[in-house]
Amino acid sequence: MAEAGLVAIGAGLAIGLSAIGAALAEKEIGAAAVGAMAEKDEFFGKGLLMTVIPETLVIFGLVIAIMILQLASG
Amino acid sequence: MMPERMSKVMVIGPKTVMQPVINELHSIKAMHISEQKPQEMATGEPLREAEKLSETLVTARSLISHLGINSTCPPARKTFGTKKDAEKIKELQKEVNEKLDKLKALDERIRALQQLESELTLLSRINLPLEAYSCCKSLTYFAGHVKNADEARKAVAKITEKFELYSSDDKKFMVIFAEAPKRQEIQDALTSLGFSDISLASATGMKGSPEENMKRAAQEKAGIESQKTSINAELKKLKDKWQEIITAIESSAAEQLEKAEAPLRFGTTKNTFLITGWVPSESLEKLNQRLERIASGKIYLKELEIEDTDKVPVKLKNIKYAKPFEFFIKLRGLPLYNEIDPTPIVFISFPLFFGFMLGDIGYGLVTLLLAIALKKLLGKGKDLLNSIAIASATAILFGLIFGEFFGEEAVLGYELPHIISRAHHVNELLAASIIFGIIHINLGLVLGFYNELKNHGLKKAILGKASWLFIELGIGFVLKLLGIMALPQPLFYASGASLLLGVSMLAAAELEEGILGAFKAPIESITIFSNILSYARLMAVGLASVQLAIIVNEFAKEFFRQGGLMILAGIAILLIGHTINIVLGILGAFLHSLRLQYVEFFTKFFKGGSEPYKPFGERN
Repeated sequence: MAEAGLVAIGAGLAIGLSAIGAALAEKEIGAAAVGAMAEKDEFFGKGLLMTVIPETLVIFGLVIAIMILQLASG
Repeated sequence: MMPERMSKVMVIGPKTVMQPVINELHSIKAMHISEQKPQEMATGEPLREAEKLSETLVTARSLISHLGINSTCPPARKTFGTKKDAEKIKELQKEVNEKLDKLKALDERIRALQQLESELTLLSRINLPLEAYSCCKSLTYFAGHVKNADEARKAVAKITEKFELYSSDDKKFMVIFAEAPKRQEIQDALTSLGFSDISLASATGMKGSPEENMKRAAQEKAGIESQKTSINAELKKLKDKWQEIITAIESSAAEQLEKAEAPLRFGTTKNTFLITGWVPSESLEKLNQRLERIASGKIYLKELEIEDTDKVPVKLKNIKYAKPFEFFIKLRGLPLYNEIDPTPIVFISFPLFFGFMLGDIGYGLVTLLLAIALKKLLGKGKDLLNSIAIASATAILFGLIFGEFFGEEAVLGYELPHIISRAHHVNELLAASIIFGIIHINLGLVLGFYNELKNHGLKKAILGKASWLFIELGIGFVLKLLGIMALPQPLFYASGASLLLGVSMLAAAELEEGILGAFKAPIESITIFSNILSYARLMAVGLASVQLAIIVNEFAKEFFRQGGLMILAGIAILLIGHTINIVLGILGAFLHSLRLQYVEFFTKFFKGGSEPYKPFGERN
């Protein structure tokens, strides 16, 4: 049972830490993107694109979390 | 799949027919006029009436903003004689400005009265007649808040005997009158006691008790308020009477001004003018005929070769149902003239991804109704709302596949039939997401291949785009190397060879950018796997949405079980929980779906950044 707890913590860390990483990256990009948009509306599409790029990190975290859970159960 | 085909045309004629040509072009609404470069040829002068027209336009627009006229208000009549109308609305503007100035003055007076009232409210706690504050030169006074007036009394007594202190009942507010020469000393002593003084600028010089003056100020304020209401009513009356006429003048002046200023974009010599521009190829014949009709024989129209350096304006051409999705392309920047317009694919993939992520009959119905209602209410943002409506319909469809209704898999005891359950089959969903990704990205590569082939030839297309296919096949090699997947030996080697081939092809393609480009290739080759893995978000966002819905439902059911008043609490939880989840669901599904288009899909083939096609005469 204790092991199951550790596995769950591991999966949680995988998502949580990657989310923090993505958030830190998006913070900077987002601020710059909003600045660019304030100058020129047409930058919305490009700004959005740049801002969401780091989001993939969380997806990687999620995939790893799922793999951890499955390795532990199977 | 390509933007509308354009023809580059040149129109030359004598200045005597310039005006009718401008009028004709304006009514055809087909020609996108290019700016004439001043270094090649002198540009034309605006027509004589331009100055007057722009003056009228400014007046009309300032009236529209001052009177708060809704710009969508339909104009009453089509055209207006400029001169008389210009005078008419000039006078109107004078009248409106006078009224606005009066309003401003009244507002200022109200602010002053408010300041006075706040001072008087404080002074009324002490209740000295106001004359006391401006009696004589030998006296100075302090008024303000203090922690304890008794402490202040002691402190001032040490400095001088000639003083008088009045304080409010709670000792927190006080007024001290003292001999003027000691002002500085007293000030210092009070400051160390935490005294903060208030300004009595408005109240000094007044007579009578604070209460009397407050009553008077309140009366004056009421009078001003009623004056304001009557001025506002007059303005409203003016607005109702004039708004249709003003909008008509505005739109007709704007149109005439556009015509009058058109020569600024022409090239001119002493007696002739030259217009270059772009016309959709299918309208070219019509343009030619109509110009021929108004100035037979005097005008020369020639179609020119499109050169590589030309910036061709782009007009997208799509079937009716895919049109709303052009919005997303425009948001990203219009495709280049020789590039594929991805609207038809976005038309399929955006709703597909959105629906897959939202995937709930209930949520789909809510967003569908929301989009329809907003479209009725707002009257703008039509394209965006239409595309969301289409995407919501696919969300309902996926809801049927997943057998979900507000996160429940059973409604009123009946199990919803489902093909795959999102809450329980995570692995299958992940696999489906990745398969969507592989298809989508390879479609992007195919489009990229076509674009490259068309613009840079077969060699670049193969090296730059087909190489990715070989890299993709190398995944087996990587997975076996990491020990994640078992693979027979021959396949392992084949996969490895394919990876190597792909990377070296990519390196060859990038070698053109210099030797560093070649080193970039192995690093860049990893992005294709992260791109494909990125589609796992299709599963992830959906899973988060369905789990949140389940939690809300379970939580509410707990309350329902307890019965009685708790049922109301349960209903509240359901409403709040699902509202939050729907908002999150729309935002998440929308942004992630869009992101997959922009980041993963578009980067495979799309450059974009064209100028939009804007025919002369079309108002936006």
